[in-house]
Amino acid sequence: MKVKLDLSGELDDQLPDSAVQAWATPDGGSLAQLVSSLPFADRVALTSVNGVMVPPDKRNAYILNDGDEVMMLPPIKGG
Amino acid sequence: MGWQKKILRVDLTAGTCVAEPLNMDWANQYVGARGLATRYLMEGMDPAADALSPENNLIFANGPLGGTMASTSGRYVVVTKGPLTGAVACSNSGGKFGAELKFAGYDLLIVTGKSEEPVYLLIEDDDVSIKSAAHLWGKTVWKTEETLKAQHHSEDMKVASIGVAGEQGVYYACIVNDLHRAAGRSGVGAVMGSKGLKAIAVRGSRGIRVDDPKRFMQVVKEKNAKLWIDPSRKGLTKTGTLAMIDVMQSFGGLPTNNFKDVQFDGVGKINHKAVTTKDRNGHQNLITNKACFGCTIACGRIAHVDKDHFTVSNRKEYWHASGGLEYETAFAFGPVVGVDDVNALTFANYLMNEHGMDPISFGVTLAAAMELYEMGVLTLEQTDGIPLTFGNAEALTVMAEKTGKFEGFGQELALGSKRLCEKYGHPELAMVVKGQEFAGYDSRAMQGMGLGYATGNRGACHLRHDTFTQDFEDIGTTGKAEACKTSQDDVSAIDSVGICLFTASAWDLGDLADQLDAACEGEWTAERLRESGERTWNLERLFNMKAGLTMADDTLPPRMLNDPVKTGTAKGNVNELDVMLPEYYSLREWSESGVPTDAVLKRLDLGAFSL
Repeated sequence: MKVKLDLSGELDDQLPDSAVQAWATPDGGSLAQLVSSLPFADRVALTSVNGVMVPPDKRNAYILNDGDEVMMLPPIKGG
Repeated sequence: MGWQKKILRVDLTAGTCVAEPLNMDWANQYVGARGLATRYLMEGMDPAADALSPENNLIFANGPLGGTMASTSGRYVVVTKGPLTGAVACSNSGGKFGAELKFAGYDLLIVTGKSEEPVYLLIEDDDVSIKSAAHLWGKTVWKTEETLKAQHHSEDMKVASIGVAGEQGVYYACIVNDLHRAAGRSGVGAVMGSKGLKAIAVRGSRGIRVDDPKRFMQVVKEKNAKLWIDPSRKGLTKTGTLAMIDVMQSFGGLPTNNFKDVQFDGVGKINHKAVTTKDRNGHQNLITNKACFGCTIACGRIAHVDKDHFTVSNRKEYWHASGGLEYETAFAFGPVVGVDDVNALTFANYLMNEHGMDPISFGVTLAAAMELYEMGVLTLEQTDGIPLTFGNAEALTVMAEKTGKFEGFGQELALGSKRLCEKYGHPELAMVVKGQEFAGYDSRAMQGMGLGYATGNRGACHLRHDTFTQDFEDIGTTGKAEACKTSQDDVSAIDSVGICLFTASAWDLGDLADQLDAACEGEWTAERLRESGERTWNLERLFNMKAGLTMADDTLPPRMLNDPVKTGTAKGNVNELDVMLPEYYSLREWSESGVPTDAVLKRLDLGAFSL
């Protein structure tokens, strides 16, 4: 299946646009598996799926569906 | 050690400059910088005094790690009573000025009274003098610094000064050092102007002694290594704080058009990608990054405006590099006023540094004026013929300059959002707490941020607590009161040590304590630092209550409490302050009306300040 990635901040240039629009991930895979498959996994701090935030400790149990929109935020604070 | 154990008192009424020993009992309780300066402020003035009267004190303060080889040790604070808020003001700056003041031998500089004629203060180690600033009054910050360096034949001199905005009492005037670093918030520059003090010029030649030099060097090396590999540090070095604008746009908390909306269509024209990409004229906005004294992060940005842009095409004096956009400046000149012209944003930022004004307060005040204009409350005649419509880049830059020079409608914008909106009959449009404008985070999308704004001792501020992670992970209120209270105490401690808040992603209070323990006598632990932070927070609260503030000031504008956010992750939410505030008071051991109880005052050794 394929999901759409929304990469914010310093992550926004980590993948080509084509990959961001349709990132392949195994059917029935979890959000945690998706994050760990990315080359910048260590810089993903926060995630949301279809606009709903998914905390790090819930990523293993969160099973993705084809077409999901997954937003990833780097660790970042104010300023 | 770590401290220089000496403070400098300057009485501008009497014209005297006297050094005296640092009160080490207070240093052991309040550490330095923010905490220690607040303790001296409480001792030195009546909190009920007018902020712009000679009775106010203006304190420049370093922490014990300030000026040492610890990373980010260039931070210093300015503590005073803020004219914008009527509350305690603690404004934090970087650059090199703070470290230089410490090299001259001083932990704190306390300015009292008022000079009848404009003056500047010259500090060269033990030689301190008050000099006429007749030739500087009316000059910009940039001209003032240039003039003083030429006059004293010293490119190495460090200068902190005010522009015309500070001289004229613009309520959010700031103090600028090193050309584009600023103690920006709450109007500390207006206090300096009210005292007739144009600038402070410092040359210091002393080192800073630490308690155990060998251990200090080893600990600093270990902590720097930890900071270096931290993902947030890497992000700040690469993108500065500007990357936050994409995060807030994606999340749906980016204040737009005076906080009517939380997402901005033009974000792609002003984000990190935009400033690092050549435009159709071949101009790239961002030139490089820049570090403050002793910093291994280097989040600062250096940029330039396209010479063909309407703002500077006929003004060669602006064809040079200067401070570039950070998140808060991008928010304040961009989404909140609806402008997506990156050159206009950058030029507005130049003007803030040149004239000495807080970008956040200026931008949010202009946003309120734009809403008043679009409602028909303000007319073209009142706004000097400039249509104050959201998205008007010319209105942004022209009004920034008018305010900096205190001319025309700029004199109205100088009032700040609260006073401006009250004057024109719509106080509900002022996005403020205690009179201070919101930073770039919508408090309906971020509940903890809203609680932090509402309870902020210097008014609305994003840098007095740290609930970012909790707010991004959960749009509800659960756990926010505790996260807000704990982080307020921790941030108070960090601000008192003399290093930058941006180390906090890598360093906890234990890492700071390790460095303090090697630098200073006595035993320093994370627990001791946290207790010190809590003591400082409560002392600030007591100052505010003695100044006349009450729990009625711990609130948010009606837009945040009543109007559901229209889009984004938190669509449909309002801020539930009524849920969080009682829990927050309880966690703080304050009464139901927000007054610190005798029990907490006794535990923190603050009984002498009981109300």
